[in-house]
Formats: sequence, structure tokens, C-alpha cells
Amino acid sequence: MQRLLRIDLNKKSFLFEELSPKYVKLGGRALSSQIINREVPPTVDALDSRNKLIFAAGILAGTSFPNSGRLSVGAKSPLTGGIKEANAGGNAAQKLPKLGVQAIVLEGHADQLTTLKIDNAGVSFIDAAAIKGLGNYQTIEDLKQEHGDKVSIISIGPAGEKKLKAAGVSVTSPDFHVRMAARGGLGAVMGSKNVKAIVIDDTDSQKVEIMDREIFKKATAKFTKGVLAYPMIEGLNALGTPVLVNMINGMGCLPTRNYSVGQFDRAHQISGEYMAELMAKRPNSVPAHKCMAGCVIGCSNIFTNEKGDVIVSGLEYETIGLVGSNCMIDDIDMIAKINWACNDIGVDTMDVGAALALAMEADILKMGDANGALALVNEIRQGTDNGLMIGNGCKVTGDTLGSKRIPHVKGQSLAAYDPRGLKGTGTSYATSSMGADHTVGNAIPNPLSQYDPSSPDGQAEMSSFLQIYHAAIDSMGICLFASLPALDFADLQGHIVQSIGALLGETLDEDYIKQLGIATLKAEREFNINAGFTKEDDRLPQFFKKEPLLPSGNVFDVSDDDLDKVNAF
Amino acid sequence: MAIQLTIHLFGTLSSKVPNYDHKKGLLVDAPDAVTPEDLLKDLKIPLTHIGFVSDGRQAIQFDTPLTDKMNVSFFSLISGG
Ligand code: SF4
Repeated sequence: MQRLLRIDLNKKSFLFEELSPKYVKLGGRALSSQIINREVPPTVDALDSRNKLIFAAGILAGTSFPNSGRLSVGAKSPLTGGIKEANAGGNAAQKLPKLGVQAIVLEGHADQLTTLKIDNAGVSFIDAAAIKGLGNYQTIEDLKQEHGDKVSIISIGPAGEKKLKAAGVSVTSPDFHVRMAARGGLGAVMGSKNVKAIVIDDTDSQKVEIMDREIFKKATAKFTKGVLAYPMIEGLNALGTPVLVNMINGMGCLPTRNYSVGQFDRAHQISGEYMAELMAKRPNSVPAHKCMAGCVIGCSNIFTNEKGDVIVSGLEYETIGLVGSNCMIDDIDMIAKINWACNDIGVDTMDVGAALALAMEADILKMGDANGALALVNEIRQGTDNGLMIGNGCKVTGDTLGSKRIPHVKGQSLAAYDPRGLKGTGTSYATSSMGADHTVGNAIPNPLSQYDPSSPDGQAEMSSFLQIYHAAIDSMGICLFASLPALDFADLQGHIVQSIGALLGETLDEDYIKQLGIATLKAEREFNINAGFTKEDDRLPQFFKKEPLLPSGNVFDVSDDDLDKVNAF
Repeated sequence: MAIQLTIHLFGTLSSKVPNYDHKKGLLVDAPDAVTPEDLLKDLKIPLTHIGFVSDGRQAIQFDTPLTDKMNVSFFSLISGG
């Protein structure tokens, strides 16, 4: 039976709690958002001890369903002031259900920096003084030495300890690379609770109970087959998400020079195609790396230098877009080094990338200065004024520097898709309760669908549809890439629903995915409204409406009326 | 009347055309008003493998008529995340 593990940090006590009817059969984002909406006072400061920090495994986590081990981290966000869920790969979410835990709920705050160890015996509270101030990589190394290499480690770096608004939460992959639940400042919430790390050890644990194993096996096999047959998988496997660099550049939507233009003339030097050429020559580079057990795609990578030393894993499109083209940095090795520094310090590469571009625009450093950017990121660790500014993300940086061109919604930076050319994605940025976020509803065109991303018409419907779908997928713990084929093939959605039905021992409604997505979005919306958000918060910054994006000349012209329709379920 | 086009292939598409040169792309002669779909047929690349077609500035459709000296870029089917 799956339970909540409530940890009271004030009292150093814990309780395994049967899932109440409000939470039963939920997982991932749905569970995290429902808990926050019901249990966190919406107007409380995000760093107040009354905020709760949730780590929720998806509904399918711990089973053999492919790519189903995303971990949802949720809380009220110090970056947006609203509800937040950020998810990451790694192996933590696969271990929790085997310990009978659907979600961990951290309540209160510890009186000293603490590591929590969760295993079959329960929870141990361990003094973390020895790892105070360490980066994520050394923290992981030290904890691995202490607890063995079969565990999963969730941790924060110095940015989380300093409670900076762009601080993320690191989750280890099976081979102990860092994956980040990067967005929304959730690392700062963990820091405010005085928790440095959580070690999850599922030794001697049980298999997840599946009510109808036969049906589950069949539905899962059909889903896996469908995913592997989808043509997109070939590109993801060969080149990973950096394959998007040339494509989004070709669309004229690659953020360049703080979202001034949509094409970067040196895009090839930071592209997936170029990375693949380098990686083929470099010792120890690994394409098609898998961030979690049970992944059948392998979109990640281990990126090494010419000598074969690891620079970072994985180097992804969003980082390349925000730290690379958006800062006019064309050196892929330097982007990888900045990525490593961000992971180690424990900050979101996207918000920090957007902040770096603003600092460049304000002449704190020169546009395109890769060494200067790396040095500035390292100042976050040192706690200089500029370092703290950057570590608080693009909104704080832009406000501090008096910028009129801050690419954010609800305080969170946009992702690496310019909304003037991709208006469905722009509509999702504007209207999501999460702040500007691409994974909530990224509307990338496919010429077979006749969907026109540059027209203002129909974007509200497109965004609404995608937001509902992805809210459900995030609740199941399925990685976005495994979920995309099911957008084109309804029978694959049927296999997902059948698998969950077999897991739970129930016949689920045909529109289960839609119902789950809508219920989750409604809870998130309700929390934000109670926290004081209005429809005026569902807007993109003015400059996207006024400055034409070259070379297409597009502006973001989805009407406010249409934006207000997105959440009218 | 014939027109001249340069075709660029990105992602894994280049591996489907023998001796494709990344730097130069493919220089082709084609009939007037040829479409991206026609070009893909000639290259024997299924439409289902294409995520996006660009004229070098923005997205175009499979049935967009192409004009002389255009650069046409084809990208593997992929979506963002
Ligand atoms: S496809 Fe990529 S993000 Fe998804 S589980 Fe596999 S490696 Fe992780």
C-alpha cells in the first residue's frame, strides 16, 4: 500500500500515513499540487516553515512501465509566489514506491543542517555540518561514500543553503550524475527547512504491487512498442535534445541576445549535430545516456573534453539556448562548464542563463563573454552582490539593473523558445500557474498537423489541450519524451490508461487522462488565486508584444481574451 | 521552367541521403512551384520523419510552393522538452 511519509523537522519525528481519500490513487504533480493546495496557507512566505516541500513519485513509478521515474518536487515557490512543481529524472522516484511511499512531505524546519536517510527502518536525522556549503557533486560523493552506491541522493548546493530564488533540487541518476528539478526556487525551500540532502535506500524493499499483472504487462509492452516505433525517437536517441538548436533556429525562434532576435548565426557551433561530431571523437563521451532505470529512449548524454574527462552530464537544449545563444556564447565546451557550475552550486541554468544575458545587456560583462559568465556564476558560490543577484534569477537581476526587457512570467524566466514565433508555447508561458515554463505545454509544430504556430488564432485551445495532457503525464511520472508519441496516437493513450487501471485494479474512464489533468490544473489555479494572482499575471512582458522578432517580424499577438480562456475548463 | 534550390538536412535526416555534405547542403534543379513534399519524395524520406520545414526564416508547410534560389531546411521529427 502506498503511503505519505510525513517528516516533522521541528520534532525530528516521522509518520507513515495511509493516503486519505483526497490523495488516494494520485502521484507526482497531481499529488504534490493537491497537498500544497489543501495544506499550505497560500499567502504564507515561501521560506516560512509553514510551507511544505513535497517529493512525489508518479503513479507508475517503481513499475516496469517505461520512462516512468520522474520525481515531482513541489512547494509554494519563492520565485513565483505561486504553486510550483518541478520534476527531474534520476532514480529516487523508482525507489520510493518500493518502500511503500508515494510522497515525502517535509514539514516545519530543522534546527540545524540535516541529512535525512529514508530506508526500510524509517527515517534517520543525521547532522549535515560536515557537508555544509559543499556543491552538489562533492555532497553526492561524500554521501555515496557513507551510504553506498545503491542509494539515490536528493540534495541542494550552496544556492539552496543561501535560499536563492533560482536554487534547484538535485536528484542523482543511477550512475550518480546530477539531474535537476531546477525551476521555481524549490532548492531554497529545502534550504529554508535546513535539509541539505535526502538519501533513499531501498535495500530489502518490496516490489510494487500490481493488481492485474497480465493486463499491465500487455498494455505496457504495447505502449513501449508504440514509443519505439515513433520516428522522433531516432533523433532523440542519436542527438538528444540539443538536436533542437538547429531546428528552433530554423524556425527563427532561438532566443538570441536576450530575446532580441530569433536566429543565432553561430548556431551550428552549439548544435546537437556538432556535439555529436565532437562526442564521436572524444574519449568517454556517451550519447544516448539514460537518466533513469527503465528509460527506453536515452535522450541524455555524458559530455567530455578532448582528454576524456567529464565536463557535464547531461548537456540539454534549454541550457544551450539560454546560456548559449541567448548570451551569444558560441563555445559548447564553455556552455558545458557553466552548466556544471550551475549544477554544482545548485541553480537553474535557464533562469541563470536569462539573468546572465540581462547582466550582459547592462554591460556588467560583455555580450558573448563565456569566461566572464562562468566567473559570474561562480560568484553565486562566493556570495558577492552580483553573484547573489544572478542566483536570484532573471526577474531580480532585471529589476536590479533597471531592465525593461525581462523575459519572465510570474517571476520565472522563459524557456528557449521565443513566444513571438511559437505562440502556443507563448500562451502556455503566460497562462500556466507555474510561471513561464515550456514543459507544461510546448506547442512545437509538425507540418503534418497543419498547426500554424505563428498565427494568434487557436493558440488558447492548443495550449489548454497541452496543459491538461502534460499535467496528467507529470502526475504519472512519465518523462515528456515518452509521452509525446501518445499525443499523435490515441491508442497509446489507451495503453497508458490500461496500465494504470491494471496497477490500481480498476477500470478507468476513457477520459481519465483529461480528468486527472483538469483536476490538477484546477487545484494549482485555486492556490494561486488564493495567493493573490489575477488574470493580469497571465500575460507576457510588453516587449514581446511590441518588438518584432527578426527575421520573421512576428510579435506576440494572442489576445488577452484568448489568454483568459485557457484555464476556463 | 526549372528553379534552383539548396536543401539542408538536420538531425538524423542527413544519414538517409548518401554522401550528404553538411557544409554545402544539396543543390538541386526542380520544376517551378515544386513543394517540400515533392522534394522529400525524390529524397525517399517519409513525411512522418519530418518535424519541421523552414525557408531559413520561419516554418513553411509541406505544400508551400518554392521559388528560385530558396534554401529549404528539413528537420527530424522532434519536440521540445
Ligand atoms: S528520454 Fe531522456 S529525459 Fe526521458 S527518461 Fe530517458 S534519458 Fe531521461
